[in-house]
Amino acid sequence: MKKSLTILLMVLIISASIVFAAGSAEQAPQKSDVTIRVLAGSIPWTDFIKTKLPEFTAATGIKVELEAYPEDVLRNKAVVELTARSKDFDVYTTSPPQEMLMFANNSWSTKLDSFIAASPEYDINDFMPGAIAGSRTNGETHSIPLFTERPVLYYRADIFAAKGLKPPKTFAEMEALAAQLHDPANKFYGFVERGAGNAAVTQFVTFLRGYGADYQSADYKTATINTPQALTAFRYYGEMLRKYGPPGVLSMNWGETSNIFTEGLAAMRIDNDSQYGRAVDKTKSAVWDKVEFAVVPDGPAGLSVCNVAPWALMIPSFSTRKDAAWAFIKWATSKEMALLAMQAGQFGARQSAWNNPAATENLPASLVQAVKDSMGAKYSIERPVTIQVGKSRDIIGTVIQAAIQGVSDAELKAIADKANADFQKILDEDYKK
Amino acid sequence: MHMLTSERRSKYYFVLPALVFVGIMVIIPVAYTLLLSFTKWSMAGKPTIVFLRNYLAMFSDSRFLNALYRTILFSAAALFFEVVLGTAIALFLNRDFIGKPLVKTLFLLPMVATPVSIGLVWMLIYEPTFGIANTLLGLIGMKNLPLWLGSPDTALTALAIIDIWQWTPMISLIVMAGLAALPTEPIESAHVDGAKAYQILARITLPMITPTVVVASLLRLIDALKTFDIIYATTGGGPTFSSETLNVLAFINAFQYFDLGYASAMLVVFFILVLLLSLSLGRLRSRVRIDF
Repeated sequence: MKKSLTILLMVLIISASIVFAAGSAEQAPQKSDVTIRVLAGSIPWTDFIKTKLPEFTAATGIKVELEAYPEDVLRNKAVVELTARSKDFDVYTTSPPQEMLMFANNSWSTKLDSFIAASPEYDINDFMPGAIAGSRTNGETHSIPLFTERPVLYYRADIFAAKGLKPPKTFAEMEALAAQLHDPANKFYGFVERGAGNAAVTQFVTFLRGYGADYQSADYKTATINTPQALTAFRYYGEMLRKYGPPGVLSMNWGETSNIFTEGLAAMRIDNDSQYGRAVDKTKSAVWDKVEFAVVPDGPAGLSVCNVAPWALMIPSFSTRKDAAWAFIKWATSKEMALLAMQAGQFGARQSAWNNPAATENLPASLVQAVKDSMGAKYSIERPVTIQVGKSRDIIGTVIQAAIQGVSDAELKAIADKANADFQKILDEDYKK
Repeated sequence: MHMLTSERRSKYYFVLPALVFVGIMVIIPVAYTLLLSFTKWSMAGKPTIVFLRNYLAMFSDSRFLNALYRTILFSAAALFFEVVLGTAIALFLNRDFIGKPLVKTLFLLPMVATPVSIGLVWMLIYEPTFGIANTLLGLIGMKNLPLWLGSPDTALTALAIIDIWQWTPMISLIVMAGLAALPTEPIESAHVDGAKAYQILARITLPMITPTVVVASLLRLIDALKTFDIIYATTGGGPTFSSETLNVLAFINAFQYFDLGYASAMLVVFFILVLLLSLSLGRLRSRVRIDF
């Protein structure tokens, strides 16, 4: 009896000590100064701000723990921490087009209007109207945009010059040019764009709107992706990639299309201007001195690009250090920082930065012109406006991929009708509140 | 007598921590998933109970049914080739030849590499324009080069090839262990009786290692059904959902669509599927007994 009791006690003590040892390793001594924890995406802006953090700490005494993750990891991590109501999560680089409605709905983001009102020198009105509108819902500001981006046309100026061609001004012209320059026997493709369903949606929308269609009605409650104009847009996008695109385009996101272009395998590419760095980098691009930029051509309905602020700074509502978090955001998005960011290649969200010639002197001239030509577009959101954005994009992506595969008109209409019905179901769910 | 009783009891005490661990780490999460499957929850706020609605929606969802079909197809095809190739290679490696340790080591390497890095490297191999797969096929004169992961027709096959490349060594390893444990008398007496090599293989060796092969298949089947990393790291289920298996679809529903109740329901059905398949394969094993 004694022996078995001793053994039982021994076993329990060993097990308990293993468990407690693992637990106590987590407890580190608390810092006495204010330290904020920032979760950011692995984007060029984060690399830029990291170099400036010592200045912030020197000026305010607030220490910053910056953690950077690739985008999908970041989004998952943020949702987990917000669900767990983590008090240790102070600033987050959110994606307003993707997350704002869901976060606002869940009360996960702090409303910033009182902070903004208390800092008049911050000059909120200096932000581009389209950019700041993307961070607002119900008249309340949920985040501050970091930079803006819009699709531009990347093209091989050397080939165009050799054949006496000019960048296209309309969709029809672009198709003609793609046909003319397409040379698959020599592994040279007329046009490359994203073909992976979900990822392609935010690029396809330029063509959707260029033909006068859109994802949804003006009040956002009715799905409109199976209208005749929408079908024309799907067909145009699908044919451009099927006839003049590289093989395997169906699984291409922007990274892959960028590789195709920088390897010198494509005549034209459309994607966001923020990726220009890879194309003009001597060490990364085979065509760094041969690429020029132009504004995306017009569709029958006119200029349809979208000036969107894809990343913004947000304060999670469970943070216990909101004043310090706001101090960081105020500093990181101030006029001075916006100008420095512009010079480092981040396209600012502040008009003062854009209007300053010192900001754009390091950027390729044709790129600056392309962006200026795109400013007049009226759109500021390039994704479906709803809570379940990811699912909606998957649904719309199926129609894009069917078009790229070259299905018949009847089949494309059937697929678009089904996608529209599924998308409508999502809108009904999300807007019934 | 007194010693025996306490010894009998002490063995339970030593097993206790492991049982508690399994209880906490396995039974509780499975039970929680089962409970979640009767709710609708997006991680914000409280779950709302919807009873069997998730299950009913699932069986009328063509995306789910297609994923189910693809999971079974992928696992069956990969398993078949892995077992046939694995057994053949094990039989080959069972004899001695020059450089055997080196060959054996190299052969086992795919099994120990991390799945995500395998996925990324194979994505480069499979790249339709400048990957080495198509470059080599082009060199031997093939004209219509496949798009591998870039086409809905070939994506699942391409993934099956990666899986076969990665896990055939595991089957071989298990079968090699089985071969090493075989008694040598039946084979020696067969030699003495004048049996040819293929007769010994077909009539003696293969039947004797069948139980081992069945065990290896069972282990591999359970993992093949659950394959996630190579699929998510390469195609993410695309293009056009053509490589989406149940595990990937459940993940997408949980962490991209934030529909955890629906994802949990899918996983409960998946769990039952894996359980049924393993039980039936286990039954097969007990049927296959060699008496000689």
